[in-house]
Amino acid sequence: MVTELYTIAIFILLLAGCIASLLIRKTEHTGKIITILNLVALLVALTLFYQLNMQIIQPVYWFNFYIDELGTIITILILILSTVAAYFSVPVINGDEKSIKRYYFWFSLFIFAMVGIGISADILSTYLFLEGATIFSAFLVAHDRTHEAFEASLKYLIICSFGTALIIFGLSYIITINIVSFSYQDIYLFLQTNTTTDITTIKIIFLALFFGFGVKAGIVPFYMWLPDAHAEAPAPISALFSGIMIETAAIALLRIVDAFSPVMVMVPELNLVIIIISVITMILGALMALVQTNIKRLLAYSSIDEIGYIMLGIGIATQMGVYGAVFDIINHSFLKGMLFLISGALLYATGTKDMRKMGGLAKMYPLLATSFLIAGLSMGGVPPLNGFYSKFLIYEATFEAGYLWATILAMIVSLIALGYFIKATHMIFFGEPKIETTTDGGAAKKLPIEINVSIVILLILIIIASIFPEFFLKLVIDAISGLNSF
Amino acid sequence: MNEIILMLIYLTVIVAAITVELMNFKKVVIALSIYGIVTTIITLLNGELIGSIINFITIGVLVPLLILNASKKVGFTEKEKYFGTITTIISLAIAISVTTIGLFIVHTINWEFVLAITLITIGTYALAVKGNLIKIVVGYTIYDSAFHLLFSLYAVLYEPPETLTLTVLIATSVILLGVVASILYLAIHNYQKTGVIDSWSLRRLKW
Repeated sequence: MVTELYTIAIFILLLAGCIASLLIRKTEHTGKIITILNLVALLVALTLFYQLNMQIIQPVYWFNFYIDELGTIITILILILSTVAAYFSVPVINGDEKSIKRYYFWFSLFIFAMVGIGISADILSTYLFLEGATIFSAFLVAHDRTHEAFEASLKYLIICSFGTALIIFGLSYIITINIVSFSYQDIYLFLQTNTTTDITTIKIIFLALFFGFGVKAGIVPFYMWLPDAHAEAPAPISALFSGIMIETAAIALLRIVDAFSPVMVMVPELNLVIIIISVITMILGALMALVQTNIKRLLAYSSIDEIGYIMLGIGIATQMGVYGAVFDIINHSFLKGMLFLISGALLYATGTKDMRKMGGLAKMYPLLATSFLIAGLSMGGVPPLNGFYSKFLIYEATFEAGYLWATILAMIVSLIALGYFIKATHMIFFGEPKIETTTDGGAAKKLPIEINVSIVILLILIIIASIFPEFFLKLVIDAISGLNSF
Repeated sequence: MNEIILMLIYLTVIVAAITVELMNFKKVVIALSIYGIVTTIITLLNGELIGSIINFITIGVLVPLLILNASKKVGFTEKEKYFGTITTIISLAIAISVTTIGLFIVHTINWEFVLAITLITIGTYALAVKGNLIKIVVGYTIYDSAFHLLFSLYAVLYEPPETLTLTVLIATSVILLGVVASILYLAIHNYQKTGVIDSWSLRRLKW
């Protein structure tokens, strides 16, 4: 009963944020109140995780949710990023009263829907929350109300809605093989006991679900929405998109791979499909990131690159691959969350997203420069930073599973990632200053305390993950052991 | 498959093909409503009562009302670069040929699947060819309703527990309404801000 109560508390806190955003008259306080609500929800989630991890309480099914360690880890990541993003929003989101109310209203609903995806126990509720997250976040992408913002949000909404409809197609075929429920657990048990089921139908179901959820993760044929939505959304929203939203879709895919594992053992082509698509995804993301001049588009393509790694780990479907994938999700959410917040800080300071117009900012903003460089090196897989450990696990898993070509390509892509991050660091922070980033007195435009604190919090988390990777890895291993087949 | 069902299948795909081609949004709304009613009748004849009621309420009534309301704000006629008799012929040809090939040449698949795949093709075609955002919403409605139709027809064939069917149909219909309302909301606000409703003109971002 305790587990359910914790979850109810988290949901109530997030929905309270949604109501509070409409009711608070003095909109300058809304952001702070939403931050506090998210922080309290985070503390609740941490307590829940501690009790699950110490086996004081057991994972439970509650409605269509399955509250286990994996779901709780994702909830914690969502709430860390949402707290930081809400705090970051305080100075960044300005404008009239109505637009601020609208922003925090959709923000709270968006976080609520993502927590829902993280702990959903069946395909239908995952689909519901996934589409909910799409709709709520489309309004956040359009927040700036510019021509580009509307276009990006329409494109995002249309592509994602067309894509996720494939999930209903998968559901239609699930009922044809007489599975009586859509829960991941039931599908796993059914496939394990009924080994004579028609393999072709199961392949159709699996591929429909894979591509349906993959749209939201930004895998290759359906990645087009991702760079635009990330580039046009306000910076805290981009941090949430890249830091956690695409990863929740990856977690949904992990649960699907887990549920279909009895069949995947027999049909290795399914693994191969995921591996090929993830390798194409990472190559495309890395090459496109190399040629970008808009910092947010660069980071968005870098996310496509990274989702390729996560999908590769899931596609290998060995224990080590999945450990690598989930560990990479944790690392990526800290890293990319921070990088997008830095891009927001740069936009605040210089008024542009174009890297060609920046330059020489390291002197004025040493914190931004240091954090950007650390995150960039970590994304490039430089030891001893946290990005290295998760990537190394994925390489090793890929190699052990016998996909040497994928291992080599993944390593090359990692080098390219290092290349574009060094290039970006150079363009932004070093060289000759190109634009007037200084105020009249000659001093740099001072960043508000909220922006600095948000970035420092994520930087500290990255440093902790770099120094104690084994601690995080142990949490991941405990969480994965709750799944059926890993 | 009896003659009535066969007739209704062809009627559905023809109505769907015409709906995405009509130039006047008042007529589009009426055609979409007719499409909703025809699919409702197919579902009802197959004995899926709940599915047909949900289908009628969403696609026959609510979505057309939303589109009518939206088109009041953006004007009732479509101004497109590519339109006219040729696209109507293409659209009808796609609809009729996919159905005929599916039903009479490939014998192995059932008519439920053929109907759904034809409607999915028409919806995708509308997304690819039509510029006007309201037309894209119409295309999305047809596309998404095809998946609902497939699910409710398969539910008749394979008899999953009734609560399961009900949950899926209600959930997916709510999502359909949510997506349609959101696209229309964003499209209208974009129109009021920039005067553009044609997605071919939305080319500020790189694709």
